Amino acid sequence: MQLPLARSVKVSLAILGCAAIATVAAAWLLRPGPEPSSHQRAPRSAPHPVAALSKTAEEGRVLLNQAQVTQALAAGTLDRPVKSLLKVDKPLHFGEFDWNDSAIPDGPTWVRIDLGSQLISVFRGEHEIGTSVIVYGGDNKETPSGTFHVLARDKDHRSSLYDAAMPYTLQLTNDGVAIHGSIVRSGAATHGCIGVPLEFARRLFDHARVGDEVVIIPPGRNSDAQTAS
Amino acid sequence: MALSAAASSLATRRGADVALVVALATALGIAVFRPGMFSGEPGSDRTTVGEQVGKGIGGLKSLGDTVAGMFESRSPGERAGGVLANLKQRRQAPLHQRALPKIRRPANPLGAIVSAPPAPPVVPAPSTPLFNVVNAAPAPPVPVAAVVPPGGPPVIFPGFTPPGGGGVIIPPPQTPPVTPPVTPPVIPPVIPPTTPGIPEPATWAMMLVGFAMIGRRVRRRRAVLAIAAR
Repeated sequence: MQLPLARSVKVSLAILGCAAIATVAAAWLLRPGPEPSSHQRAPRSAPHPVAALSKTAEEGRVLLNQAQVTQALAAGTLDRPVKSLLKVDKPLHFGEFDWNDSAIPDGPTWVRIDLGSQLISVFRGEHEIGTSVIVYGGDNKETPSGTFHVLARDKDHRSSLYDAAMPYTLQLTNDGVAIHGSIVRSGAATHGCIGVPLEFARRLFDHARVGDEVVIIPPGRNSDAQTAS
Repeated sequence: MALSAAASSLATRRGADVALVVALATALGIAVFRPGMFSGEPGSDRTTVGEQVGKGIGGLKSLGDTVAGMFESRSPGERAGGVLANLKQRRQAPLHQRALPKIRRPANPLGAIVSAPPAPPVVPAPSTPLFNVVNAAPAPPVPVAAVVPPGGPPVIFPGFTPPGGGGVIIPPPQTPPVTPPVTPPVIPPVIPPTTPGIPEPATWAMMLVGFAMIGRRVRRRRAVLAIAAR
Protein backbone atom coordinates (compact mmCIF):
# COMPACT_ATOMS: atom_id res chain seq x y z
CA MET A 1 0.00 0.00 0.00
CA GLN A 2 1.33 3.34 -1.01
CA LEU A 3 1.67 6.01 1.62
CA PRO A 4 0.54 9.55 0.86
CA LEU A 5 3.44 11.69 -0.26
CA ALA A 6 3.40 14.10 2.70
CA ARG A 7 3.34 11.25 5.15
CA SER A 8 6.21 9.41 3.57
CA VAL A 9 8.23 12.62 3.55
CA LYS A 10 7.49 13.10 7.25
CA VAL A 11 8.59 9.59 8.02
CA SER A 12 11.76 9.99 6.05
CA LEU A 13 12.54 13.22 7.82
CA ALA A 14 11.95 11.62 11.20
CA ILE A 15 14.27 8.77 10.33
CA LEU A 16 16.93 11.13 9.08
CA GLY A 17 16.67 13.29 12.19
CA CYS A 18 16.92 10.31 14.48
CA ALA A 19 19.89 9.02 12.53
CA ALA A 20 21.63 12.35 12.86
CA ILE A 21 20.98 12.54 16.59
CA ALA A 22 22.07 8.95 17.05
CA THR A 23 25.25 9.63 15.13
CA VAL A 24 26.07 12.52 17.41
CA ALA A 25 25.25 10.40 20.43
CA ALA A 26 27.44 7.58 19.21
CA ALA A 27 30.27 9.98 18.55
CA TRP A 28 29.86 11.31 22.08
CA LEU A 29 29.89 7.83 23.49
CA LEU A 30 32.95 6.82 21.56
CA ARG A 31 34.84 10.05 22.13
CA PRO A 32 38.30 9.71 23.58
CA GLY A 33 38.34 10.29 27.27
CA PRO A 34 39.77 13.49 28.67
CA GLU A 35 43.43 13.59 29.44
CA PRO A 36 43.64 12.56 33.05
CA SER A 37 45.06 15.39 35.10
CA SER A 38 47.01 14.80 38.18
CA HIS A 39 44.08 15.92 40.31
CA GLN A 40 42.00 13.04 39.05
CA ARG A 41 44.72 10.52 39.36
CA ALA A 42 44.93 8.36 42.37
CA PRO A 43 47.92 9.17 44.49
CA ARG A 44 50.94 7.59 42.98
CA SER A 45 52.79 4.87 44.59
CA ALA A 46 56.37 5.55 45.38
CA PRO A 47 58.32 5.59 42.12
CA HIS A 48 61.34 4.08 43.69
CA PRO A 49 61.83 1.93 46.75
CA VAL A 50 61.70 3.79 50.00
CA ALA A 51 65.19 4.82 50.81
CA ALA A 52 65.81 6.47 54.10
CA LEU A 53 67.65 9.74 53.81
CA SER A 54 71.13 9.88 55.13
CA LYS A 55 71.85 11.84 58.25
CA THR A 56 73.36 14.73 56.30
CA ALA A 57 70.35 14.87 54.04
CA GLU A 58 67.98 14.99 56.96
CA GLU A 59 69.50 18.19 58.26
CA GLY A 60 67.28 21.16 57.65
CA ARG A 61 64.35 18.98 56.67
CA VAL A 62 61.02 18.06 58.12
CA LEU A 63 60.27 14.41 57.56
CA LEU A 64 56.56 13.90 57.08
CA ASN A 65 54.77 11.05 58.73
CA GLN A 66 52.00 9.04 57.19
CA ALA A 67 49.23 10.98 58.92
CA GLN A 68 50.54 14.27 57.64
CA VAL A 69 50.80 12.99 54.09
CA THR A 70 47.34 11.45 54.29
CA GLN A 71 45.84 14.65 55.54
CA ALA A 72 47.65 16.73 52.90
CA LEU A 73 46.44 14.44 50.14
CA ALA A 74 42.92 14.55 51.50
CA ALA A 75 42.92 18.31 51.80
CA GLY A 76 44.41 18.76 48.37
CA THR A 77 47.51 20.49 49.63
CA LEU A 78 49.57 17.88 47.86
CA ASP A 79 48.60 15.79 44.90
CA ARG A 80 51.16 13.08 45.46
CA PRO A 81 52.99 11.62 48.42
CA VAL A 82 55.88 13.64 49.75
CA LYS A 83 58.37 12.43 52.29
CA SER A 84 60.15 15.57 53.39
CA LEU A 85 59.92 19.31 53.20
CA LEU A 86 62.55 21.95 53.73
CA LYS A 87 62.60 23.28 57.25
CA VAL A 88 61.77 26.96 56.92
CA ASP A 89 60.93 28.31 60.32
CA LYS A 90 60.28 31.91 59.52
CA PRO A 91 58.22 33.50 56.78
CA LEU A 92 60.32 34.06 53.69
CA HIS A 93 60.79 37.62 52.55
CA PHE A 94 60.24 38.66 48.98
CA GLY A 95 63.33 37.77 47.04
CA GLU A 96 64.45 35.15 49.56
CA PHE A 97 64.64 31.49 48.79
CA ASP A 98 65.82 28.26 50.33
CA TRP A 99 67.59 25.54 48.39
CA ASN A 100 68.98 22.31 49.75
CA ASP A 101 69.40 19.28 47.56
CA SER A 102 72.41 17.73 49.21
CA ALA A 103 72.29 13.97 49.36
CA ILE A 104 68.78 13.82 47.97
CA PRO A 105 68.35 10.74 45.82
CA ASP A 106 67.51 11.07 42.16
CA GLY A 107 63.94 11.35 41.10
CA PRO A 108 61.68 13.23 38.76
CA THR A 109 61.70 16.97 39.24
CA TRP A 110 58.33 18.55 39.73
CA VAL A 111 57.20 21.94 40.90
CA ARG A 112 54.35 22.97 43.12
CA ILE A 113 53.25 26.58 42.92
CA ASP A 114 50.70 27.91 45.36
CA LEU A 115 49.44 31.26 44.22
CA GLY A 116 47.50 31.85 47.43
CA SER A 117 50.52 31.64 49.69
CA GLN A 118 52.81 33.01 46.96
CA LEU A 119 55.18 30.07 47.22
CA ILE A 120 56.98 27.81 44.84
CA SER A 121 58.36 24.44 45.89
CA VAL A 122 60.69 22.37 43.79
CA PHE A 123 60.68 18.66 44.47
CA ARG A 124 63.04 15.93 43.48
CA GLY A 125 61.07 12.79 43.75
CA GLU A 126 59.43 12.92 47.14
CA HIS A 127 61.70 15.48 48.72
CA GLU A 128 61.50 19.22 48.53
CA ILE A 129 64.77 20.74 47.41
CA GLY A 130 63.89 24.40 46.96
CA THR A 131 61.32 26.98 47.90
CA SER A 132 60.88 30.65 47.31
CA VAL A 133 58.41 33.48 47.25
CA ILE A 134 56.96 34.24 43.85
CA VAL A 135 55.18 37.00 42.06
CA TYR A 136 52.38 36.04 39.76
CA GLY A 137 49.80 37.42 37.41
CA GLY A 138 47.83 40.54 38.24
CA ASP A 139 44.12 41.06 38.18
CA ASN A 140 43.69 41.31 34.47
CA LYS A 141 46.43 38.87 33.54
CA GLU A 142 45.83 35.99 35.87
CA THR A 143 48.17 33.07 36.09
CA PRO A 144 46.42 29.90 34.93
CA SER A 145 46.07 27.06 37.37
CA GLY A 146 46.28 23.34 36.83
CA THR A 147 48.95 20.88 35.87
CA PHE A 148 51.39 21.96 33.21
CA HIS A 149 54.52 20.59 31.70
CA VAL A 150 57.67 22.45 30.85
CA LEU A 151 57.35 23.07 27.14
CA ALA A 152 60.66 24.75 26.53
CA ARG A 153 63.72 26.05 28.30
CA ASP A 154 65.45 29.25 27.35
CA LYS A 155 68.27 30.70 29.35
CA ASP A 156 68.17 34.18 27.87
CA HIS A 157 64.65 34.61 26.71
CA ARG A 158 63.23 37.99 25.87
CA SER A 159 59.51 38.53 25.96
CA SER A 160 58.19 39.21 22.52
CA LEU A 161 55.00 40.66 23.97
CA TYR A 162 56.44 42.96 26.57
CA ASP A 163 60.00 43.41 25.39
CA ALA A 164 61.28 42.39 28.78
CA ALA A 165 64.05 40.09 29.82
CA MET A 166 62.92 36.66 31.02
CA PRO A 167 66.10 34.98 32.25
CA TYR A 168 66.01 31.22 32.85
CA THR A 169 62.62 30.76 31.27
CA LEU A 170 60.69 27.54 31.69
CA GLN A 171 57.77 27.89 29.36
CA LEU A 172 54.53 26.35 30.58
CA THR A 173 51.83 27.33 28.12
CA ASN A 174 51.71 28.02 24.46
CA ASP A 175 50.60 31.57 25.04
CA GLY A 176 53.78 32.39 26.87
CA VAL A 177 53.16 31.82 30.57
CA ALA A 178 56.47 30.76 32.06
CA ILE A 179 58.54 30.52 35.20
CA HIS A 180 61.46 32.91 34.96
CA GLY A 181 63.79 35.06 36.95
CA SER A 182 62.26 38.33 37.95
CA ILE A 183 62.22 41.12 40.46
CA VAL A 184 60.35 39.67 43.41
CA ARG A 185 59.00 42.37 45.66
CA SER A 186 55.91 42.87 47.68
CA GLY A 187 52.88 44.16 45.85
CA ALA A 188 54.29 43.39 42.43
CA ALA A 189 52.56 41.34 39.82
CA THR A 190 53.28 39.97 36.39
CA HIS A 191 51.36 39.55 33.19
CA GLY A 192 50.68 35.93 34.02
CA CYS A 193 54.16 34.53 34.41
CA ILE A 194 55.59 33.18 37.61
CA GLY A 195 58.46 35.36 38.73
CA VAL A 196 61.11 33.89 41.02
CA PRO A 197 64.39 35.33 42.30
CA LEU A 198 67.12 35.18 39.70
CA GLU A 199 69.42 32.78 41.53
CA PHE A 200 66.51 30.52 42.35
CA ALA A 201 65.49 30.64 38.70
CA ARG A 202 69.00 29.61 37.69
CA ARG A 203 68.97 26.58 39.98
CA LEU A 204 65.49 25.59 38.94
CA PHE A 205 66.53 25.99 35.31
CA ASP A 206 69.47 23.68 35.86
CA HIS A 207 67.24 21.01 37.37
CA ALA A 208 64.13 21.19 35.23
CA ARG A 209 63.86 19.42 31.92
CA VAL A 210 61.29 19.68 29.19
CA GLY A 211 58.27 17.65 30.20
CA ASP A 212 58.63 18.10 33.93
CA GLU A 213 55.39 18.66 35.77
CA VAL A 214 54.37 21.99 37.26
CA VAL A 215 51.28 22.09 39.44
CA ILE A 216 49.80 25.54 39.94
CA ILE A 217 47.26 25.83 42.73
CA PRO A 218 44.91 28.77 42.35
CA PRO A 219 44.51 31.31 45.14
CA GLY A 220 41.86 30.45 47.72
CA ARG A 221 42.19 26.73 47.21
CA ASN A 222 44.45 26.16 50.14
CA SER A 223 42.39 28.14 52.62
CA ASP A 224 39.33 26.22 51.52
CA ALA A 225 41.17 22.98 52.08
CA GLN A 226 42.18 24.04 55.54
CA THR A 227 38.72 25.06 56.60
CA ALA A 228 37.33 21.86 55.18
CA SER A 229 39.67 19.67 57.12
CA MET B 1 10.29 6.41 25.52
CA ALA B 2 8.40 9.32 24.07
CA LEU B 3 10.67 9.85 21.15
CA SER B 4 10.65 6.27 20.07
CA ALA B 5 6.87 6.10 20.48
CA ALA B 6 6.34 9.16 18.33
CA ALA B 7 8.73 7.91 15.76
CA SER B 8 7.16 4.50 15.64
CA SER B 9 3.65 5.97 15.33
CA LEU B 10 4.89 7.88 12.32
CA ALA B 11 6.37 4.82 10.74
CA THR B 12 3.79 2.20 11.56
CA ARG B 13 3.61 0.89 8.06
CA ARG B 14 7.26 0.33 7.50
CA GLY B 15 8.51 -2.44 9.64
CA ALA B 16 12.15 -2.06 8.85
CA ASP B 17 12.00 1.68 9.43
CA VAL B 18 10.32 1.15 12.75
CA ALA B 19 13.06 -1.15 13.89
CA LEU B 20 15.70 1.31 12.76
CA VAL B 21 14.09 4.28 14.46
CA VAL B 22 13.60 2.39 17.68
CA ALA B 23 17.20 1.31 17.69
CA LEU B 24 18.44 4.82 17.03
CA ALA B 25 16.18 6.35 19.62
CA THR B 26 17.35 3.79 22.13
CA ALA B 27 20.93 4.72 21.41
CA LEU B 28 19.96 8.34 21.86
CA GLY B 29 18.31 7.55 25.15
CA ILE B 30 21.37 5.72 26.37
CA ALA B 31 23.51 8.64 25.39
CA VAL B 32 21.30 11.13 27.16
CA PHE B 33 20.79 9.18 30.35
CA ARG B 34 24.28 7.87 30.59
CA PRO B 35 25.36 8.66 34.12
CA GLY B 36 28.02 11.30 34.41
CA MET B 37 27.77 12.29 30.80
CA PHE B 38 27.59 15.97 31.52
CA SER B 39 29.94 15.95 34.45
CA GLY B 40 33.04 15.85 32.34
CA GLU B 41 34.53 18.99 33.77
CA PRO B 42 37.91 18.42 35.31
CA GLY B 43 38.03 18.03 38.98
CA SER B 44 34.71 16.29 39.44
CA ASP B 45 36.52 13.23 40.68
CA ARG B 46 38.82 15.25 42.83
CA THR B 47 37.26 14.09 46.05
CA THR B 48 38.08 10.51 45.27
CA VAL B 49 41.55 11.09 46.58
CA GLY B 50 40.06 12.14 49.86
CA GLU B 51 37.66 9.24 49.89
CA GLN B 52 40.46 6.83 49.28
CA VAL B 53 42.76 8.01 51.97
CA GLY B 54 40.12 9.05 54.47
CA LYS B 55 39.62 12.39 56.05
CA GLY B 56 41.16 11.64 59.34
CA ILE B 57 43.54 14.13 60.84
CA GLY B 58 44.42 11.74 63.59
CA GLY B 59 47.97 11.83 64.75
CA LEU B 60 48.34 15.53 64.01
CA LYS B 61 48.43 17.74 67.05
CA SER B 62 47.78 21.11 65.49
CA LEU B 63 47.43 22.86 62.18
CA GLY B 64 51.12 23.70 62.26
CA ASP B 65 51.85 20.00 61.93
CA THR B 66 49.98 19.71 58.69
CA VAL B 67 51.70 20.20 55.40
CA ALA B 68 49.45 23.14 54.65
CA GLY B 69 50.44 24.65 57.97
CA MET B 70 54.12 24.24 57.12
CA PHE B 71 53.63 25.96 53.82
CA GLU B 72 51.63 28.66 55.53
CA SER B 73 54.31 29.31 58.10
CA ARG B 74 56.88 30.12 55.44
CA SER B 75 54.51 32.10 53.27
CA PRO B 76 54.56 35.89 53.22
CA GLY B 77 50.80 35.70 53.17
CA GLU B 78 48.28 36.24 50.50
CA ARG B 79 48.76 39.07 48.13
CA ALA B 80 46.64 42.13 48.65
CA GLY B 81 43.89 42.50 46.12
CA GLY B 82 43.93 45.01 43.34
CA VAL B 83 47.57 44.66 42.54
CA LEU B 84 48.25 45.97 39.13
CA ALA B 85 50.66 44.46 36.75
CA ASN B 86 53.44 46.95 37.21
CA LEU B 87 56.56 44.97 36.52
CA LYS B 88 56.67 45.19 32.80
CA GLN B 89 55.29 47.57 30.27
CA ARG B 90 53.81 46.50 27.02
CA ARG B 91 56.19 47.21 24.23
CA GLN B 92 55.49 50.34 22.25
CA ALA B 93 54.71 49.73 18.63
CA PRO B 94 57.60 50.97 16.52
CA LEU B 95 56.90 54.20 14.74
CA HIS B 96 56.97 53.76 11.05
CA GLN B 97 55.68 55.43 7.95
CA ARG B 98 53.80 53.43 5.43
CA ALA B 99 52.95 54.29 1.85
CA LEU B 100 53.98 57.87 2.15
CA PRO B 101 55.55 59.56 -0.87
CA LYS B 102 59.02 60.84 -0.79
CA ILE B 103 58.89 64.46 0.13
CA ARG B 104 61.91 66.42 -0.91
CA ARG B 105 62.29 69.30 1.40
CA PRO B 106 64.78 72.05 0.67
CA ALA B 107 67.24 72.84 3.31
CA ASN B 108 65.73 76.28 3.67
CA PRO B 109 62.40 76.44 1.89
CA LEU B 110 61.84 80.09 2.72
CA GLY B 111 65.21 81.08 1.28
CA ALA B 112 64.53 79.07 -1.86
CA ILE B 113 61.34 80.98 -2.44
CA VAL B 114 62.92 84.30 -1.71
CA SER B 115 65.78 83.66 -4.06
CA ALA B 116 63.58 82.37 -6.84
CA PRO B 117 63.87 84.85 -9.70
CA PRO B 118 60.87 86.13 -11.60
CA ALA B 119 62.36 84.94 -14.88
CA PRO B 120 62.27 81.20 -15.58
CA PRO B 121 65.63 79.67 -14.86
CA VAL B 122 67.38 77.84 -17.60
CA VAL B 123 68.73 74.41 -16.86
CA PRO B 124 71.42 73.17 -19.18
CA ALA B 125 71.05 69.78 -20.81
CA PRO B 126 73.33 67.35 -19.07
CA SER B 127 74.55 65.65 -22.25
CA THR B 128 76.19 68.65 -23.81
CA PRO B 129 79.08 70.07 -21.92
CA LEU B 130 78.20 73.67 -22.07
CA PHE B 131 80.44 75.23 -19.54
CA ASN B 132 83.72 74.65 -17.97
CA VAL B 133 84.00 75.39 -14.40
CA VAL B 134 87.15 77.24 -13.67
CA ASN B 135 88.05 76.95 -10.10
CA ALA B 136 89.39 80.20 -8.99
CA ALA B 137 91.08 80.92 -5.78
CA PRO B 138 88.89 80.37 -2.73
CA ALA B 139 86.53 83.23 -2.66
CA PRO B 140 83.45 84.03 -0.62
CA PRO B 141 80.58 81.91 -1.97
CA VAL B 142 78.57 83.63 -4.59
CA PRO B 143 74.97 82.54 -4.43
CA VAL B 144 74.10 83.84 -7.86
CA ALA B 145 76.53 83.11 -10.65
CA ALA B 146 76.27 84.95 -13.87
CA VAL B 147 76.76 83.01 -17.08
CA VAL B 148 77.29 85.01 -20.17
CA PRO B 149 77.01 83.02 -23.38
CA PRO B 150 77.97 84.95 -26.48
CA GLY B 151 74.98 86.41 -28.18
CA GLY B 152 72.54 85.32 -25.53
CA PRO B 153 70.96 87.05 -22.67
CA PRO B 154 72.42 86.54 -19.24
CA VAL B 155 71.16 83.41 -17.63
CA ILE B 156 70.74 83.37 -13.91
CA PHE B 157 71.22 80.21 -11.91
CA PRO B 158 69.57 80.77 -8.60
CA GLY B 159 71.37 79.46 -5.65
CA PHE B 160 74.02 77.69 -7.69
CA THR B 161 77.32 77.50 -5.96
CA PRO B 162 80.24 76.10 -7.90
CA PRO B 163 82.13 73.35 -6.15
CA GLY B 164 85.26 75.35 -5.83
CA GLY B 165 83.82 77.64 -3.26
CA GLY B 166 83.01 80.23 -5.87
CA GLY B 167 84.20 81.34 -9.25
CA VAL B 168 83.18 82.49 -12.62
CA ILE B 169 81.59 80.18 -15.13
CA ILE B 170 82.60 80.91 -18.66
CA PRO B 171 81.46 79.06 -21.75
CA PRO B 172 83.91 77.08 -23.83
CA PRO B 173 85.04 79.05 -26.84
CA GLN B 174 84.42 76.39 -29.52
CA THR B 175 80.94 75.19 -28.58
CA PRO B 176 78.18 77.03 -30.35
CA PRO B 177 75.50 78.28 -28.06
CA VAL B 178 72.73 75.80 -27.63
CA THR B 179 69.49 76.93 -26.19
CA PRO B 180 68.89 74.66 -23.28
CA PRO B 181 65.44 73.23 -22.77
CA VAL B 182 63.36 75.42 -20.60
CA THR B 183 61.63 73.75 -17.72
CA PRO B 184 59.00 75.36 -15.58
CA PRO B 185 60.20 76.47 -12.19
CA VAL B 186 59.88 73.90 -9.49
CA ILE B 187 58.92 75.62 -6.30
CA PRO B 188 59.20 73.21 -3.42
CA PRO B 189 56.15 73.28 -1.18
CA VAL B 190 56.66 74.99 2.07
CA ILE B 191 54.02 72.89 3.82
CA PRO B 192 54.32 69.19 2.99
CA PRO B 193 51.08 67.69 1.77
CA THR B 194 49.13 66.00 4.52
CA THR B 195 47.45 63.49 2.21
CA PRO B 196 49.90 60.96 0.87
CA GLY B 197 50.22 60.57 -2.85
CA ILE B 198 49.77 56.82 -2.67
CA PRO B 199 46.40 55.76 -1.26
CA GLU B 200 46.09 53.61 1.80
CA PRO B 201 45.46 49.89 1.26
CA ALA B 202 41.87 50.34 2.38
CA THR B 203 41.40 52.96 -0.28
CA TRP B 204 42.88 50.63 -2.86
CA ALA B 205 40.54 47.88 -1.73
CA MET B 206 37.53 50.16 -1.88
CA MET B 207 38.52 51.30 -5.33
CA LEU B 208 38.92 47.73 -6.55
CA VAL B 209 35.57 46.78 -5.08
CA GLY B 210 34.02 49.75 -6.81
CA PHE B 211 35.53 48.75 -10.12
CA ALA B 212 34.33 45.21 -9.60
CA MET B 213 30.80 46.43 -8.91
CA ILE B 214 30.84 48.65 -11.96
CA GLY B 215 32.09 45.78 -14.07
CA ARG B 216 29.39 43.53 -12.74
CA ARG B 217 26.72 46.06 -13.50
CA VAL B 218 28.04 46.48 -16.99
CA ARG B 219 28.10 42.75 -17.58
CA ARG B 220 24.61 42.31 -16.22
CA ARG B 221 23.36 45.19 -18.27
CA ARG B 222 24.92 43.68 -21.38
CA ALA B 223 23.34 40.34 -20.64
CA VAL B 224 19.93 41.91 -20.06
CA LEU B 225 20.22 43.92 -23.24
CA ALA B 226 21.22 40.83 -25.15
CA ILE B 227 18.21 38.96 -23.81
CA ALA B 228 15.95 41.90 -24.57
CA ALA B 229 17.30 42.12 -28.10
CA ARG B 230 16.26 38.58 -28.89
